[in-house]
Parts: sequence; C-alpha cells; structure tokens
Amino acid sequence: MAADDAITVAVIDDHPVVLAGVEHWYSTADPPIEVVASGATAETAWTRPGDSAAVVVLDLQLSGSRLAYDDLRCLVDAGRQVIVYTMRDDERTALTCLDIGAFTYLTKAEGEDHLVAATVAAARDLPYTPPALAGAFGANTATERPRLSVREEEVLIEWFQCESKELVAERLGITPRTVNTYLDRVRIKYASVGREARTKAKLVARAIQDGLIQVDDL
Amino acid sequence: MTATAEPRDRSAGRIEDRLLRGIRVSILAVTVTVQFGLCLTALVGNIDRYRPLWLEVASFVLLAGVAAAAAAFLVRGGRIPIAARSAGATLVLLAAGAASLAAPPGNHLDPAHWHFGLVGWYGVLLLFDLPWVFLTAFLAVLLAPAVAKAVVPDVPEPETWAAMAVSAVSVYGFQLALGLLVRGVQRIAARASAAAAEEEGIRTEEAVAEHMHGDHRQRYVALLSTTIPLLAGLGYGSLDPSDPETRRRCAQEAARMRRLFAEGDNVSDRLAHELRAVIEVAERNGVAVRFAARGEPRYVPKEVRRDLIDPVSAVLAAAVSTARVTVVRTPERVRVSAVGDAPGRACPEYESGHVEVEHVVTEDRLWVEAVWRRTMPSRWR
Repeated sequence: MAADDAITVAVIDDHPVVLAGVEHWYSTADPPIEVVASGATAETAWTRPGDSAAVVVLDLQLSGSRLAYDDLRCLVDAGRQVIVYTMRDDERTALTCLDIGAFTYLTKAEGEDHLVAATVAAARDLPYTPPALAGAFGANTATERPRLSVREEEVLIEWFQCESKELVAERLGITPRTVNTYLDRVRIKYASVGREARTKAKLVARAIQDGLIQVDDL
Repeated sequence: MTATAEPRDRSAGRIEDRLLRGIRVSILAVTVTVQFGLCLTALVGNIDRYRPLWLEVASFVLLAGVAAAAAAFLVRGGRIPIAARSAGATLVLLAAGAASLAAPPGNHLDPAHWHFGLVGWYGVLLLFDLPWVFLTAFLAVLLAPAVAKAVVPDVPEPETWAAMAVSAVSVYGFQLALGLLVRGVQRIAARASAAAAEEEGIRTEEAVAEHMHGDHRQRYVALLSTTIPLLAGLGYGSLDPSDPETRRRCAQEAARMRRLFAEGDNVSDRLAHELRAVIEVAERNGVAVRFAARGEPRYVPKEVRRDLIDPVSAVLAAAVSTARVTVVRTPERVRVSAVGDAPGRACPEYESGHVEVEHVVTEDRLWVEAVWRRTMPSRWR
C-alpha cells in the first residue's frame, strides 16, 4: 500500500509502454508518488483501488476514434483532479479539456519534464501550466476568453516557445518566480470562466487564499 | 491562377450569351410588331364575325401575355428557363386553338384568321435554340387546327387548296428556316467561345510559366550571395569540410534551399509547410526537432515568410542535438521562434527585412524569435 504521505495516482492509458514509463517517472519522484491503479479504460479510476487516487492521469485517445471528453466530464463532476495526458498538440483540444474542468493539459512530448511536477501541483490544488497549454491560452481568440494583460500574454507565448522559465525571465528582465506568478494567474483566470466545476473552484479558492490573485481580478 | 482564369472563362461564355439574347430580342420585336401592327388591325376590322368574340380577344391577350413574360425574362437575365418555355409553347398552342375556334368558318387566307401568321413567330422565339424537331413539331401542330377549320363545313376547291398551301409554306417555311439559321449561328458562336476559352487557357498557362521562371530566377538570386560562395569555397579548397563552422554553413544553406523548393508547393498553411521543410533538413543532420503551432493559419506574404524562417534555419543549423520550433498566429502578429542547444555559439546571421528579430543567447542555448506585425495593407489580412 501507499506510504501515508505519498500522493496516490490512477493512470489511464491504452498503451502499456506509456503506463510503464509513467510508473517509472513516479517511482523516482520526490515527494513520493504511488501509482495505485493503472489500466486501459476509465473504469480504472472508478473501481478499487483507483477510486481513491488523489490524481487521475487520463489519456484522451483510448481505444476508439472519439476523444474521451465524456470520461473526463464524469471524473470532473465527481470532483476528481484529472491531468489530461495526450498525443494531441492543438489548442482546441487543450481549451476544451480545461473548460470541462481538467486540472491541466500535458502533451506526451512534455511528459518527462512536467508530469511529476503537475501531479504534485494537482494533489495540492496549485495551478500548473505546461508550455503546450500556455500556447493554447496565448493564441486563444475566443470571445469568452478571460481578459489577460499584455505581460501575461507575452509570458504565455514565450513559455510556449522556449519551454524554459529561465529564458523567459532573461528575455523579459524578470525572475523565474515572477514568470510562474504570471502563468499561475492566467490559469486561475481560466478556471473562473466557462463551465463550472468543483475542481476549478478549489483551484481559484486556493489561489485567493495564497494571495496569488484578488477576487477583483477575476 | 484560378482567380484570374475564372473571369476570363466567363467573358468567353458571355459572347454566346449576348448573341443569344440579341437574337431573342429581335425575334420578340418582330413578333410584337406583327401582333400589334398587323393582327390587331385584322382583329378589329373583323370584330363582328367572331363567335364568341371574347374567346378571340382572350387568345389575343394570352399571346400578348406570353410576349410580355418573355420580355420580362430577357430584361432580368437574358435567358428563358426551359420550364417557362414549355409553358409558353403550350399557352401559344391553346391560344391558337381558341382563336381558330372562334374565328369565322373558312381558311387562313381570310384576314379574320389573323393568328395563322403570328403564332409561328412565338414558336421561333421560344424554341429556336432547342433541337430542330421541337420547332418543326410545334409548327406542324399549329397547322392542324387551320386545316381542320378549312375543311369544315365545306371542303375547298383545288385552287383554294393551292393558295392555302402557298401561303402556309411561305409563312411557316420562312419561320422554320429562320429558326434553323439562327440555331446555326448559335452553334458557330458556341464554337467561337470554346476556342476563345482555350486560347485564354493557353495564355494563362504561359503567364504562369513565365511567373514561375521569374520565381526560379529570384530564388537563384537569393542563393547567389550565400550558397554560391560556400560551394565555390568547397570547390577551390579554401573551405575545410571538416571545420564545424563550414558544416554549420552547409546545414544552413541546405535548409535555405529546401525552403525555397517548398515555396513552390501548393498547400493551405504555407508557413508551417516551409518550416517543416527546414526542420526536415535539421532532422537529417541528427537534430531532434519538436514543432508546435498555435492559432489559425493566416496569409503571410512570401518575402515575409522567408524572413520569418531564415532565423529558424540559422538556429537549427547551429543546434547540436535538440531544438524546438514554434509558430504562434494571432490576429495582430505572426511569431516564429526556434530554441536550440548550441553551447558557445554567437548569434547567427539571418535576413530580417520585413520582420523584427530578437534573440537570447545563454551558455548552452540559443533562442531566436521573428515577429511579423500585421499592420500592413488590408489585403494581406
């Protein structure tokens, strides 16, 4: 069984190689993360022992041609923290997942650098914006998008471009920590628009508690 | 190409359309003149002889109505739809039958049978551009009530028969001959249109070929300042192929040439297509490149695309093992960026006439971004 302080995760992906790779990354993580269940369908997250996992990692393209938006919606409605982990690298998919209430959106190309950190953030209700998602936020021209400042947009796009907070910080003459703050504020703004979900509310509440954002900013 | 060829095709087709319209207008004018100039006088002059009079008047009005409808179609579009033509032809036949029924007994040599010479003109007006059997059948059907009328109640004398035949042949024969003649002219016009369209097609192809040739020359000029000295240096031995700097230049020139080849391809998202071409070259040189695009594809002029992509080729040529290339398109800007692991490299050289280029050089990485602001002519949006 999981150690008391370990973050528990259920991983849903229909490729055994991906499952093995993800389990390997988690096994060396600090703080410890334990994969309590893994499988090829969303049932993994609904049945024991996966139903108690703090974080669900969900592949959007399970066997079949349709994207697993329905599975994502059900998990979000049950209050689960879901990290969408997918081969698809396009903004429409990313924004749709976020609107449904996914905790974050990670492309498989970003997995090695971001999956562990995103999982830790998910377990703690802290915002996490990987580059692919930042690019989707930055290029979003939909009318219902949240209002972003020029600086916020600039940070989003540069983070998407170079995938390095140090490079963004150097280019804009700010600290990497400030880069994080901008990214987090944008993520919170996105959590406060569109479809309502408990996972989004928790994210916004935590951000206000931490002083990351003011209620007036939303 | 299609944008220029289309209106030309239309202009070729217009010759035939205009000719047809002109013919119809002339025939309509003849028809209306005959009806109101000759037939109306005959009708009024014999007004006491029709039984019943209203039927004769109704057929006159019905014929005038068909003429008015044809005029309306000609004014609006120049063409009369097939359905309207068959309806018109049917109405004309009905009117001819009615006029014949109410006319006094006797044959069409009697001026009271005003409709005999008129209705054939309606046939020519409505049917001349259809296969000749339609007009022939129409005229033949018109003859039937006239003959029926002539033999009831008394069969005429042979002399009267001869006079009737001469009149019928001269009226309907003339109308049929005219119909066939006009159709012949129309066929010639159609052939002329086809020939004109073909000639225009050839002219367009020539223009395209000329344009492409110009394009090739431009590309050659684009390579002249950078590729040729490199090749010459390698050829004369003044450049050492084992020198990393020479190799980097070769990689950059290869990417540039690959991009110039990609410019000729016909794809919807040209910028991404040309970026992929450059990336392909880098990947062949052993650099793992990740590419991502955000935002809707937008039109970017060719020279701007070159300037956006050139810094990317420079970074990819300098990269040792990995690189990331992105393109972000918003309504205001198109931003192309490349980051590569290039320890100890100075910022490479690139063309940047139409775009703003910024770069960040750290110990182990090189990041260049080219931005095109879409503030220029509205036709580019």
